Amino acid sequence: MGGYALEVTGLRKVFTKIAVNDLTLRVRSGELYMLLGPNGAGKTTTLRMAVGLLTPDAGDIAVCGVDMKTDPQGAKRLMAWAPDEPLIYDKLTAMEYVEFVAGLWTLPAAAARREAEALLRGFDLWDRRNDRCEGFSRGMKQKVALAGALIHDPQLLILDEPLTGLDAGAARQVKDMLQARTKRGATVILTTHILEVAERLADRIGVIQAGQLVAEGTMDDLRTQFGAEGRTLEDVFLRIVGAEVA
Amino acid sequence: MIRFPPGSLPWLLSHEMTLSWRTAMGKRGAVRTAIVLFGFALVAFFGCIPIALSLARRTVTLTPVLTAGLDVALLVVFTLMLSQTLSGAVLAFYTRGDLDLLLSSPLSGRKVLAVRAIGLALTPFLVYAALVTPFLIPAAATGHPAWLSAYIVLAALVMLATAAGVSLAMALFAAIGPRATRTVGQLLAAVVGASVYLTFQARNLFPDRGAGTLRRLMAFANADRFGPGAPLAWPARALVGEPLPLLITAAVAGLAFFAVVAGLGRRFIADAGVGSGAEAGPAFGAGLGRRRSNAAPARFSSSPFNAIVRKEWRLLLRDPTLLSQVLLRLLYLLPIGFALFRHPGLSIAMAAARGAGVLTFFASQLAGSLAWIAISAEDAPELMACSPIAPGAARRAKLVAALLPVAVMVAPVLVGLAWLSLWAGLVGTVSVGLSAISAGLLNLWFEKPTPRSAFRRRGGSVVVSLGELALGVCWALAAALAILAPIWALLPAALGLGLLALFRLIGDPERLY
Repeated sequence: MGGYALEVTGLRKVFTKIAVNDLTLRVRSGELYMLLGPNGAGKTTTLRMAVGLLTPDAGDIAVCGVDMKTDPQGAKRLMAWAPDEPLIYDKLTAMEYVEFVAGLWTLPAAAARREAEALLRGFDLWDRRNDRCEGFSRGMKQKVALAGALIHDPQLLILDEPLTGLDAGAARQVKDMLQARTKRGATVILTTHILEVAERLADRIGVIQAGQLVAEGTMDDLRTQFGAEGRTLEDVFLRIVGAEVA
Repeated sequence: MIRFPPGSLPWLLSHEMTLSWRTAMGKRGAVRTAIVLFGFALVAFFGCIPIALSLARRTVTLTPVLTAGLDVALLVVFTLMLSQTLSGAVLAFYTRGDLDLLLSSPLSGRKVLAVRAIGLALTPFLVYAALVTPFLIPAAATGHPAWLSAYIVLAALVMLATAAGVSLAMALFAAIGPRATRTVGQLLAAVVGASVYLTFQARNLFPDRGAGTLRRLMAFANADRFGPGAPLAWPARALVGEPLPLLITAAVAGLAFFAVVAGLGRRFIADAGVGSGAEAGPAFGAGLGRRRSNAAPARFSSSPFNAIVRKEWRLLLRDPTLLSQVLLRLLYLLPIGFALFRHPGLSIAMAAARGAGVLTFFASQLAGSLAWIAISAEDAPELMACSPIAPGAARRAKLVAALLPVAVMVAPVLVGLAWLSLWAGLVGTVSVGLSAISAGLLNLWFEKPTPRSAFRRRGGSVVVSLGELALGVCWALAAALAILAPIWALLPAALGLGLLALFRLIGDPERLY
């Protein structure tokens, strides 16, 4: 699949101060793209604009070529969003939650049922499918939310800190799932503060600071660009952020 | 400023009081306090001071009827206090944040429970003390200083209510477990509070039995049961400042309070630990067994409309606390409805008119409550916002989810109304529909994402509450008049439509979906 899964041009958002400033970002289809940045850099604001939760003050967003401004429903149909705080209903069971999300994306019932079973089994939630989410741990809720996000097999999956609160086993499940999705042609964009994960999984990395994209490329590109050959992503990241601060 | 030794009971209490004060004050605390004080000053100046002056230097004798009346007043206050303390005690088990901090510190459980219990007691005490102050102070200043003992009686009542509330909450916890305690405790507290209201409305509920019941009550009060030496007279005697009854009342209440605090401190730590764990999940799963939802098998549907409606109904039916709050609102309307509808000697036309009016107002209130829950109290607004369903379609589905239960609930009554008079049935159906849709639309135009727990305050939306009330009254009047004198029904109907247009104009806030 060619082209861009997400194309953001000249994006700007101001709250009381500038959160995102003339940001241009292009993520290719089939990529696993990590968006990094210090706290308050504008990562979440950028992603929330990309999924249509915030309206940008300026700039354009296209999801797989579908313009968010002119066809928001069409763009949303192609993607899924999973924020750091799981978007679930405590009083619904895991299965009912996935069923509800499948309804929102108008999936054919039979296919949705099959996919729900596969996802809940894949996340080790099948035995708890009829339990209400209110009794679940944070990690389990996160997995239910991810199952909901994946039920319609999105072409673009945007995840904000998806590994927060997950134990080692669950984190491995999520990482494996993300890699499997990109192998099948889907695009994954995620933010994380766990730089080892970013270093190991990312096809490309973007670093945002003060609402602007200050570095972008593969791990090797970044090392070369910032004169940090043989160093870890943490070293490179600190150098990028430090250089900006200085 | 007095500084208490860190870790001591007064130190912890002052910390709790500071937090409670700041929470109560909120952002506009000064304005709110000024309004309340102004209100009190008005009530005191025009109501309480004249009454107190009229009683100045007059000897008030405790007759059996007056004694019974004062006892009933104290019982009512105790019941309302119990409702508050039970509700507060149940919530105290689940207030995870600072309770975890306190219980993980070297403070004893008894001390933590004592402070929590005093905190529970203090709010109702301050409320009732504030209510009686505009009368008590002038009365005390004009010849009845002994009546200040009412403060001690209030303190005794609140201590008893707290001891009972905490014991009841812990008994429920032991008997039915942490999750059920939260629901049952809140329901019980609401029912206890509502029982007082319904008791006072007995005359409206059973108008034909009113006179006989009152006669029997007077005879009961006039019997020896409330004479000066009778035990039932002691609370009233304590209230007017007789030393021995006052001392005994205070001692009994104090003993009950301290017995609960001393006896249940250790148990409180255990219950609170399990209670907060029950909210979090893993501890609950590990220690208390899993909860099965008894859910029907999942029914996948490719229609977002069906998915939203089904989701709303499931969430509503699975939240008994919220459901009970909705139904309690209606319970409060019941006596008014009875009073209007079941008046002896009412003609069929008048009964049908009043019935249609009451039902219309009832439908408006129910629809408003359900619409608020479905529209403003959406638990996952961002999920709805990033789904591909068109915003209008999602809102329509939510409106339908809110209005269908109203239709189901009022349909049998409408059939009854139609049986009484076909025209009344028709008018009732139209007015119920209009009032329910108006209330739903109002909630749609003034949508304000708010947690479900804010239901009692409706997320603080005064416009929606007043709007529902005004529209409900307009459509109810229109319904009643349409049956009695159809041409006059145009007036309230036009007013209703005008109000609706006005709300449409000023509403329509920026929405997420």
